[in-house]
Amino acid sequence: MQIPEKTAFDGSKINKERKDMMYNAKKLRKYFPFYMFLLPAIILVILFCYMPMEGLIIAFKDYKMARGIEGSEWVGLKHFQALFSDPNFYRVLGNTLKISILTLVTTFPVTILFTILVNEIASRKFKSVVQTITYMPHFLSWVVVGTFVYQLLSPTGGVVNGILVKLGILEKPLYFMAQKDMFVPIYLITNLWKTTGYSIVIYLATISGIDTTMYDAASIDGANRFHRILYITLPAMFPTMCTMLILNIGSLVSVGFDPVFNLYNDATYQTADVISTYVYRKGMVESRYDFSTAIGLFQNVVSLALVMIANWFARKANPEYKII
Amino acid sequence: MARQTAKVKMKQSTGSRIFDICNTLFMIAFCITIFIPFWDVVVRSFSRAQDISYMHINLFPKVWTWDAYKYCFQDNEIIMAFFMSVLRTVTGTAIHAIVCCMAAYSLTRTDMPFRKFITAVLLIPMFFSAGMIPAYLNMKRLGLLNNFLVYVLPSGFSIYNTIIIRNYFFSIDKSMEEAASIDGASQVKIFTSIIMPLSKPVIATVALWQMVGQWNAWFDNMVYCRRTASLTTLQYLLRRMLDSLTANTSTASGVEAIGALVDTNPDTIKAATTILVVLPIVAVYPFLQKYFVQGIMVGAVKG
Repeated sequence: MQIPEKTAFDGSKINKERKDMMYNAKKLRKYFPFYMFLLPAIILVILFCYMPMEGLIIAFKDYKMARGIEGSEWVGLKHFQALFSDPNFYRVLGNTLKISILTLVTTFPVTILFTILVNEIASRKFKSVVQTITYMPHFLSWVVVGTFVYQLLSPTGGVVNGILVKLGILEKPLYFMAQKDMFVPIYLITNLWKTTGYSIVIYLATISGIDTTMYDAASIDGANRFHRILYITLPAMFPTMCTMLILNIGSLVSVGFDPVFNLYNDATYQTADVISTYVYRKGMVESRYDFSTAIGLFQNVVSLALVMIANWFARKANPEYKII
Repeated sequence: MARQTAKVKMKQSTGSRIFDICNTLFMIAFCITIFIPFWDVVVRSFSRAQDISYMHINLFPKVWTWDAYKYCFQDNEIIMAFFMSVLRTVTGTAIHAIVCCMAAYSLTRTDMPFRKFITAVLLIPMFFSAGMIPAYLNMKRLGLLNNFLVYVLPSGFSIYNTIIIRNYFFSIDKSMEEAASIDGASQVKIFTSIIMPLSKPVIATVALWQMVGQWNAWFDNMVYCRRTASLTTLQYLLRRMLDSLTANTSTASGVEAIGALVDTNPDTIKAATTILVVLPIVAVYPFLQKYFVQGIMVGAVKG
């Protein structure tokens, strides 16, 4: 058993140290049930979070299935060199950055605007109905959302094509999902459709903390509705806005796998492929385990660095902010 | 609400009233936008296959029919997948709730030796994960490929939920626990008969999150259990239907794509399956929304 650091050796007081050790042994016994309570969690974390980390070394090896992770030959940075001279990698990295920046630029203002508008609804009942309906898509999987989008935009039976053809905007139906220029707009709109309601709930939680007497006081002082939004509601949202913005910047190089995977297809790889989907295709489909582990490692390390930096800024901007 | 009454008493300006009207209309439009895809699927699922064409846009099916649903309920694959989804949701949620609650209870002991170290061990994976391929190789090594356990064990613990539960445990009055302890109750007894019953709201919230997560999960099915038909979940079945649609784009890419799109699954059956996937969530959602919102508050305030 390890000796806890609290019993650090203090030369002159051997007796005290022994007492401490006895005390600690007692303490450990007292806490035995609690360690047992923690055991399942620790086992699961070791099995499914720490054990896979050993597999990261294949990013530096020539992985052969038959020889296993340990038995495969070391090749140093070969895969990383291959990665940085792979034009596909730069395309994928570019797509990732483009999609995450555009997502940030669209979701952020829309969420703030919609939150304020929802908050301005006078009837409490209507307000809760709006929230209930708009929050709903958050609980759907991206598979379902992908199905929705494919069906709405389908050239054979899609509502969108039907309307556009009837209005004469399109001569004949267009297969939107197979147009590579269309992917990013479709992705952004779908993302807004799915996430806006959820973000509104988060921001409204902040707004509900505002002291309502502030609004009354402002009204008496002659502030109209617009003034009240501008000088009371918005500033109250500001800390949450900062935190969200910074956290989003932290995930700049990690566009989620699910949304892209369920909206793209081989006709749109050019513009839709992001790092995570590229890793999936190189690794799971083409079985280039070592190479795609290297890509994944690159992404995770950059993400970690960005999260650390973002976190540091978040703490500077908002002293109350902490991750845990 | 003080604000509402004050507003009523005050004379509203015309501008403010116009704003209210526009805002209401805008919100109705917003809700309709969210609602359209749902309605589209409902209409499709009740339509006859031959009625679905971009030339007809109808608010309601031309002819109401249960054909697609009848097909679904006769299709063994779909029924099996539905039960597999239910099974993984129930099992996965139970494991998750138990593991997280136990861990959370231990983490409330602020003077437990090694507490900081253990917390760090549990926290680090939140910031750095090995990634897709190492995870896959690890599952292979553990013999979990094509195994039901791969659905319920890796998601069995989440530090985020554990911390939310722990924060709730902290708010429970310590004196009750002390009284029970003096009466000779063991730690296990205190946990099961005092702490757990008092924490129902937070446990419900976390369990609901996990339920939705389990019901919606499909990636583990695709990557780890692709080859075992009996382990196919409803989500993955739907995903495969989506695949059968997108696969056709490879032949159609670039040029005129319309004619080439021949779908192996009729739209109506796909729509009915989508309804089967969405319905359980939509059905329980209005009743449980309270918990979801509550959960966010817990997370937002204390997380």
